Amino acid sequence: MWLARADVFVILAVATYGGEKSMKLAKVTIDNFRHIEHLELDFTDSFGRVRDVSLIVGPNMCGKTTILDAMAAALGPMTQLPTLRPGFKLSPKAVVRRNTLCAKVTCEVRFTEEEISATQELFTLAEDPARVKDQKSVKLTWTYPDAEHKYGHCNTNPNGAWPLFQGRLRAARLLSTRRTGLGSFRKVGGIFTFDQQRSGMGKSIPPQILEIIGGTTPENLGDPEGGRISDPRTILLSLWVRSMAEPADPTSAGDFALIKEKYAEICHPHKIIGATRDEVGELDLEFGDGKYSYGYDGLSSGEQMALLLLIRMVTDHIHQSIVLIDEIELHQHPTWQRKLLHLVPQMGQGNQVIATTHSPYLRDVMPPGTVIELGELEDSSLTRPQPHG
Amino acid sequence: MGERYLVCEGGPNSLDMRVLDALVTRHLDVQIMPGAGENSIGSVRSWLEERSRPNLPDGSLGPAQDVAFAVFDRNYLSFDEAQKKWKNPRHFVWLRHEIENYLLEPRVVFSAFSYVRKTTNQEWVKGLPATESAVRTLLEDLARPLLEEHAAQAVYFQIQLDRRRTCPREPGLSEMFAGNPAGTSSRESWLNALLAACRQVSDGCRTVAATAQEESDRQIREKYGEAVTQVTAPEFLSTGKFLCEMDGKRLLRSLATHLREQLGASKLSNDDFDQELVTALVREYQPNNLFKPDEFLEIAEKIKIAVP
Repeated sequence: MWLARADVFVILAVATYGGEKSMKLAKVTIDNFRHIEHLELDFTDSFGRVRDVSLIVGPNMCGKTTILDAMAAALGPMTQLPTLRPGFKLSPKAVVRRNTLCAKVTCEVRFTEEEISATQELFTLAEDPARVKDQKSVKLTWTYPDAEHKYGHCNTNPNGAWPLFQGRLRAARLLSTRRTGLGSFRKVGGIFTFDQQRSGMGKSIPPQILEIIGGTTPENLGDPEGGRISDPRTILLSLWVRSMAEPADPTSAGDFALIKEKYAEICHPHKIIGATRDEVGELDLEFGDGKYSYGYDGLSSGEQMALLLLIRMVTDHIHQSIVLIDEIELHQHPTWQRKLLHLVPQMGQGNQVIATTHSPYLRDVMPPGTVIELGELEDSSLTRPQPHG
Repeated sequence: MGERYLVCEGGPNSLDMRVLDALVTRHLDVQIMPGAGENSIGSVRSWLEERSRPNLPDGSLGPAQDVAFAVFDRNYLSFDEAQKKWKNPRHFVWLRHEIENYLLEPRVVFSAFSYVRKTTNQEWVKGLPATESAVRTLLEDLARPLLEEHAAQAVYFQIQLDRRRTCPREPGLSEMFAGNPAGTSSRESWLNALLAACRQVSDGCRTVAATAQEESDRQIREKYGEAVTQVTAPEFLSTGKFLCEMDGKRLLRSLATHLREQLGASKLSNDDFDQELVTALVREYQPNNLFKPDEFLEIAEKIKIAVP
């Protein structure tokens, strides 16, 4: 059940800035997961806080993606959120290290008072008798395979702390039945995975809206996911069309305005002006930089990727969450790799970003404590970068 | 279009890299590159341009496609002297001593302390200054015991510069001396350390006659006396001049030591404290607002004009 699509759980969380407000991953120990025999990772700083951004750096095939997979696999069953990337195969053969019996991932997860009380309120609203413990630090241990649990067995220390992980799920369910206001969702986080293909970015768009946009259909957009569009231009246009209509669903109302606002903030002086029809009647997005206006095609590939990430962060309402991003530098020119690293934490509020990279350009601008090095990088900063457009 | 580079002091992960990458790239697409020490920045800058020269059909190399700029620490020189030293249209010099001095801007330190207080449950954060003016007072208090050292380093820097003019090829001249052997901060011990360091410079410089040593000592004493008078004048601290002039690294370490030893932040690492200030700087920075003049914006605009 927890492998359902991310956008099933539509949660609007407008969080206030500053500090640890939600579920954070402080430490992780991975044993016998794929080729990892034993690995300990610490995401805290010497102030005792969990770092906002951690970068796992290493060359190809050193296990960067495996680390993200291990964290997603361990936290998924407990949160009941779709944390696994598409293409990840959860089977003993694929996951458990050769000649060992089971894989084990131990996570030290921290919760704040605010989130604990928000989760308690959500459980009360949902009339769920489970007791949400007042526990700020929980050790979650996931073992796989397990005869009784398809997705592996999880236990918590202290026992019975599982409801703390399910605030976001309760929030989503209550929201779908309109039994709570949006304010309840400001303090509960989740886990979100951005894979290398960025395939989780896809959105289902009703055919009527596609028709308004320009007669486009998922098929002629070459959509491999059947009905899900991953082209940011089309997604953004669909959100614009929805913003023009009477908001039938309050959970999706305002997405376009939020993206517009956030884009202007993080890509200043560039901004989204809106959408216009061209001379042949086709709808296109209009951007501006204060001097000139241009269409979607005028965006650089870096801006397109930033926009794509922003769309998902806003439409999935990713705040106060653990965000796992595989190869954050993907397809980016070095300047944009670094820009993106600064932009991603600003896209949501209070998120903990754990990203992998094999880019020396990114490693070089991160503070030493935030970089977890898994091996020597080929220092391509010493070779002239090739333009990517 | 070729690439635009800005080479800074320090290695990968250095504060220069992180601050410039966060602030200058807001205004302009430019790659920040580490240039290590000030003596190697020029070579890195030239190499970045040199490597972009394409091979032409006739076998020769074409003009450079990329353009590289460099930014230097002013250190103990005056801005004019530093500009003269690094004279080149593609060179910039910080108005302040070095990048750390921008992190020590009281508003930035106050913002960092406020954030730490909000996000850390540890007992010691209760002792952090609660207002911007209290931060300024703390910085002044931390700077006070370093004034004699600052004067000694400034004089030594000036003497080094003079010696370089008279014997430019003499190797082994360092631009700072490690500290006074007694390990105390009294004026007399700094003067003795300065005299010893200057003698070493003189000994290494063939053009300085040994007979001139006594005269030289007297001059150094006078220069040091003048420098101490200047920096111990109340306005050096009260006007905030010390935040631009003094060794930023030294002040920053002094602040971190204060947190560890006086407030009890025993586990606090220098790296994490530095990063807290970088984050605060990025949070507080608005063009032409936090710093006037805004050198980060100026550097970006000058590069943009040179390489549209």
